[in-house]
Amino acid sequence: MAHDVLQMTFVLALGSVGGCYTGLASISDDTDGIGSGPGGDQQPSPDGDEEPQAGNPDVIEGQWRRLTRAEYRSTLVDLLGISLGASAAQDLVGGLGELESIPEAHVLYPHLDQAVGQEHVNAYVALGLEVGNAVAQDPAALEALMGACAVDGDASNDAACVEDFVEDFGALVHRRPLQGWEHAFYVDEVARVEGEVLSVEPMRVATLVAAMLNAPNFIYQVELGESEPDERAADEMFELTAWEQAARLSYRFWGTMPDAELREAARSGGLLTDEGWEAQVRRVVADRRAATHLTQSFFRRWLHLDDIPDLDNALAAPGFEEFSGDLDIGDDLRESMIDDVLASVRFHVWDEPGTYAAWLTSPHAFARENDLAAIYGTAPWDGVSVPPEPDEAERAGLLTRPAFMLHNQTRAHLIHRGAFVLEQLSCTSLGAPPPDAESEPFEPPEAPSAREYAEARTAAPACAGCHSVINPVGYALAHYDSLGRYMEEEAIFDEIEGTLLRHATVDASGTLPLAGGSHPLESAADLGEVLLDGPGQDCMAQRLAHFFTEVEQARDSQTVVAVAAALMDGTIQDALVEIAMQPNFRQKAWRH
Amino acid sequence: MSRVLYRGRRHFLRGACGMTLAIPLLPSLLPRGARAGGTAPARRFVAFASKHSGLRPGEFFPTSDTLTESMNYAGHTIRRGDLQLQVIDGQAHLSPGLFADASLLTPERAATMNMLLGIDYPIWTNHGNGYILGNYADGSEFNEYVGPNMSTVDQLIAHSDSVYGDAAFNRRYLNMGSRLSFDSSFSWQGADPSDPTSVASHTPLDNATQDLFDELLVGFVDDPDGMPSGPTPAELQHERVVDAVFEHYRALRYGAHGDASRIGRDDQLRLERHMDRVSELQDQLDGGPGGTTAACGQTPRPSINVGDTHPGVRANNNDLAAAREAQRLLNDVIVAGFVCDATRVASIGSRHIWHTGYTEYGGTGPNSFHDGCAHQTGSSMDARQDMMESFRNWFSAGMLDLMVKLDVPDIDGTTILDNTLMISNCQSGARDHYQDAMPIITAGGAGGRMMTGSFCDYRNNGEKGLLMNQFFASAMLAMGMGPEEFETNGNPGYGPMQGTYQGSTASVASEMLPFL
Repeated sequence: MAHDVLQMTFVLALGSVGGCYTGLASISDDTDGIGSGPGGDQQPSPDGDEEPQAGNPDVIEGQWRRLTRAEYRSTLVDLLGISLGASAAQDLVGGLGELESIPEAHVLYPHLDQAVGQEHVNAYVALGLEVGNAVAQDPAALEALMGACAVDGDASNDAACVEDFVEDFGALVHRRPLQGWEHAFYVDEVARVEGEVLSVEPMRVATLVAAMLNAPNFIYQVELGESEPDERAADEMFELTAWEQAARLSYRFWGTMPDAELREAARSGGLLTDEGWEAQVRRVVADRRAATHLTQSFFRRWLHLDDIPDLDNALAAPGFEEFSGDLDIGDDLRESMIDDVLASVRFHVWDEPGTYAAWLTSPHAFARENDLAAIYGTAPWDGVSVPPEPDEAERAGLLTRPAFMLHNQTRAHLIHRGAFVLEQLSCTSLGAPPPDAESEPFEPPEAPSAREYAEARTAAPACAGCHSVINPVGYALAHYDSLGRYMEEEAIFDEIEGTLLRHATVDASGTLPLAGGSHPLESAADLGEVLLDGPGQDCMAQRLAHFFTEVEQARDSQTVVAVAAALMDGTIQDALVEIAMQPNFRQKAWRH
Repeated sequence: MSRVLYRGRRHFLRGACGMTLAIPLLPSLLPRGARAGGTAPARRFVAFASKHSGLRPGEFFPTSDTLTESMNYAGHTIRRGDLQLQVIDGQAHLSPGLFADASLLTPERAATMNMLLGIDYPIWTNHGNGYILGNYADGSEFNEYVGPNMSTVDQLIAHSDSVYGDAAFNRRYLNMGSRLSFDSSFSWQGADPSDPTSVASHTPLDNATQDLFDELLVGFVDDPDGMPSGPTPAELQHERVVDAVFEHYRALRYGAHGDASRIGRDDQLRLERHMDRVSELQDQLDGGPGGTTAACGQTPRPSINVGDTHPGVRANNNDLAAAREAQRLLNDVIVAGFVCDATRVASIGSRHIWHTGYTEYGGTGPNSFHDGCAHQTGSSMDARQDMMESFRNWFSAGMLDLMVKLDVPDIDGTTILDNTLMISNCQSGARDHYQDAMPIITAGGAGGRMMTGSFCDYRNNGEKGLLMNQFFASAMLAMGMGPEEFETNGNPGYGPMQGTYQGSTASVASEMLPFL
C-alpha cells in the first residue's frame, strides 16, 4: 500500500499545480508519436495523444494488423527457412532489394503504423515477385520448396506437385490450413494458365509464390473467429481460433510466424485449453526470439534510444575535445551506449530472468568497447562472462547508464534528464512547454554549472509549477557529465569559446514536492527508490499494455493493474506472461 | 486551405436584356475553325446517369459563401462563385460531401468542372430513368406524368452532323453501364435518331469491353508494325499476379464461402482499401490513370470482356470492388475511342448501389438501398451520408477516373478532357422523387464552348431555378448544335413544358446557361 500512496501523491503533486507548461494532464497533438529522448530537444511525449482508456481494459483495438517491415522480413526468413534452411533463407531475404521500399512511418512502436498506402501494396507485389522468381529459378531452392517432383523433368507428376505445394506452403503462408476455396483459387485461378495442365515451369511457380505472398492472410493477421456472426453482439469480444491465437502470440512476442510447436498446438487444439495456452505462453515469452523482438521493438522504442543525440554533433561542440579529456572516443560510442541499455534488458529479462527492481538497479556495465568501459571505469565486457560491475558508489543501475546522459554540449542538460525520467519511466504527463519558453530572457550567473544554469533558466514564477518537480529529478542525476562519466566536480566551459572556466562541486540534492509532504533526493539511487516504490512498475505496465494492446491504457485498467502487480511481485518475464494471460489477448471486438 | 479554381474558358455572359458582356478572348480558346492553321480537335461528349437520389444541396454543393457574383437573368437573381478545392487528409473537397483522392482530383482537373445548383425539371419526375437524360416518356412505371417519348441528349448529339460532320468513325456512340429494370438503359434513341420528335426506344446497351475496344480500333490501327509491342513475360507475370491478388481479396471480402460474413466492418474497410490500391496498381500497369498515352492504339485494352453478367454492372449488386473494376474497364473503352477519334459520344448508366452497407436495391428494410437509404434521406442523417458516400464512390470510379484518363494531350496541345463535355445527372434532386435542385456536375470544356470552374446557383433567392430543358440545350449548344436541332413543338430548350413553366425561364431555355 505504501507505494500506492507515494504514487498517488507523486501524480497529485504534478497535477495540482499550475506551471510553465500548458496542459499538465495532456501531452500534445504530436502526430507521429515521438516524444522526448533522454538527451534530445524537448518534444511532446507519445502518451497522451488520446485519453487513456480507463475502465475499458479488455479491448485490443484496430483492424487486422498489417505486418511491419521487420515482421514481414522475419516471417519470410522463417517461412522460407523451413524448406531452404535458415542460412539460405537469410541470404535470400537479405538480398531482397524491395524490402526497404515497404514504407514505415516514424511512430512510437512500429506496429502502430497501420496505414496501407499505394507504396505498401506496390512493394508487397514487387517483393512477392522477387521472392517467387528467386526460388523458382534456383533448382536447388525449387527442389527444397516443392520437392524432387519440381526438378525431375517428369511432367506427369507436375499436377500433384503443384497441388501438394499449394496445400503445404499455403498452410504456412496462411498460418492455418487452407480452406477448399483457397486451395482451388491458387490451383485453378493462379497456377493453371487458361485451362492448361498444371506445370512446375519456373515462371508459373514464381507467379504462384508471388500471389501467395500477397494473400490477405499473409500481409495481415486475419482474425475471423469461429462463432457465427449472429452469435456476436456489437462491440463484444469473440474468441479467436486456435490458429489465430497462435499467430497473435507469435507476432506479439516474436514478431514473426508461429513455429512448429505453436502450429502443432493449434492443430491439436491443445492451445485452446488453459494449460496448453499457459505452457505455450511461458515457452514463447522465455524464447530468445522474444528477447530479440521485444528488445528492439519495445524497450528500444519505449526508452527512446534512437533519439539519443548523434555524437558527431557533440564532438563538434566548442570545448568538447578538451572536455572529453583522455577519453578516446571511438566511432561507435553512441551505439555502444544503446547496446549497453539493451544488453541490460536481455540480461535481466532473459539471461538471468529477474525483477523490475533488479533491472532498474542492475550493478552491471554491459560495455563491450573500450571507450564506454572507460566511462564506466571497468574493463570491457566480453559478452559471455558475468558483466563487470562499476563502483557502486558511482552507479545506480539503469538511471545512470551513459546513454541517458549523452548531450551535445559540455554542460549537462539536467532538465532533459528530469523530464525523461518523469515522462518515460514514471509516465507522468508534463505537456509541451509554452511556445515562448525557449525565448524567455533570463540571466544565468557567470560560468554557471549545469545546476545553476537550470535553476536560472526556470526561475520565472510561471515555470515553477512543472520545474519544481522536473528539476529535482534532474538534479539527482547531476553527478554525470554529458558523456555519462561520474563526477564529483564539474568542469565548466565557455559555451562559445570552449575554454575551461572553472570547476564546481556537484550538488545533486533536491526535494521532490509531493502532495502531503516532500521527498528528499540526494542521488540517482534515491530517485530509483522512488520509482521502485510503485511508479516505475506502474509505468512499465502502462507501456507494455500500450505496446501489446495498441491502445493507451489507464493506470487503473485491468491489464495495467495485473501487469504492474506482476512487476512488483515477480520477474519481468512473469509480467510478460501476464499480458498474454489476460482474456482479451485471445479475443477480438466484433464491429459490424 | 482552399484553392480557387481559375476559370479557363472563353465566355460570353448574356445579360437579362440580351446585352453581351465580353471577357478577354484567348486565341487558344477559339472554337473549331476559328483558329489559325492546323486542325481543331474533335469535341466529345459523355453522359453519366444514375438513380442516386436525395443528395441534399447543403452537402452536395459548395457552401453559399463561395458565391461572389450575382446577376439578373430571366427574372431571377442568380449567383456564381469560383469552385474551390480544399484538401483535407489527402481528400480534395469540392463541397462538404463531394470529395475524392487529392492525387486524382487535382486543382487543374477540378478547374474543368462546374457544379450547377438550381436546375429543375418542369414536371414532377417522381420515378423513372429516361428523363435523367431527356426522355420524359420513361417517367415511371406508375405513370405520374407521361411526356413525349423522345431521344435522350446523348443520342441527339451522337446523330448530329454538327458533331461528326464528315469525320470517319467506327461507332457513333457507346452506351454502357448497368442494365436497369425492364431491360432498359438510361439512353433512348428515336426512330430517326437525328429527329427529336421521332418516337424513341431503348438504346442498345453494350458492355462487351474487349469487343468494343477491338471494334473501335479497326481502321485506326492497321499497321502491325505501328502497334505497340506486346508486354514482356515479366510484365505479363506482374499483371497476372496483381490480377490474382485483386481476385483473392475480392473473394475474401465478398465471397460466398462463409468468411465474408465473419469480417467486421473495420476489417471490411481494410480489405477494400487494399483492393483500391491493387486496382490502382492495375491501372499503373495498364498505363493509366494518368499514364494513358494520347496515341491511338496505345491505350490499354480491357483485361476482360465485361459483358452484362459482370457483378460490377449488375444494377442491384453491392460488390463495390467489382463495380470499380467494371467502371474502370468501361472507361478504358471510352478512352480508346476518344483518343483514336473512333467515336465521340458515350453514355454510362450507373448501377444502383455504390455502398457496401446495403445488400440489395429493392425490397424493404434497412438493407435495401432504395427503402433504407434513398427514401430516408429526408429524415435520416445516416441515410444522407450513405447516399453521399455512394455517390462519391461512383463519382470517383466513373467521372473522375475518366477525367484523369482523358487528361492527356490532344492534337493541338490542349487535352482531350478540355475538348470533352461530361455531364452527370441523377434520378432525383434535393430529396427523393423530387424534381428540383438536381445534382448536376459537368467536366471538360467542350473545346472552349463551355466555361468551367464555377459553382452556379440558379435558384431565384433560393426558390425555383432554371429549367433542365435549358441545361440539356446548353450541352447540345456546347457540342456545336443549334436550337433547330433540338427544339420541339415550339418549346425552347429540349423537352416539354408544363403549366407554371411557361414563363420567363422557359423563354430562355434555348440559350447557353448563364455563367457557362
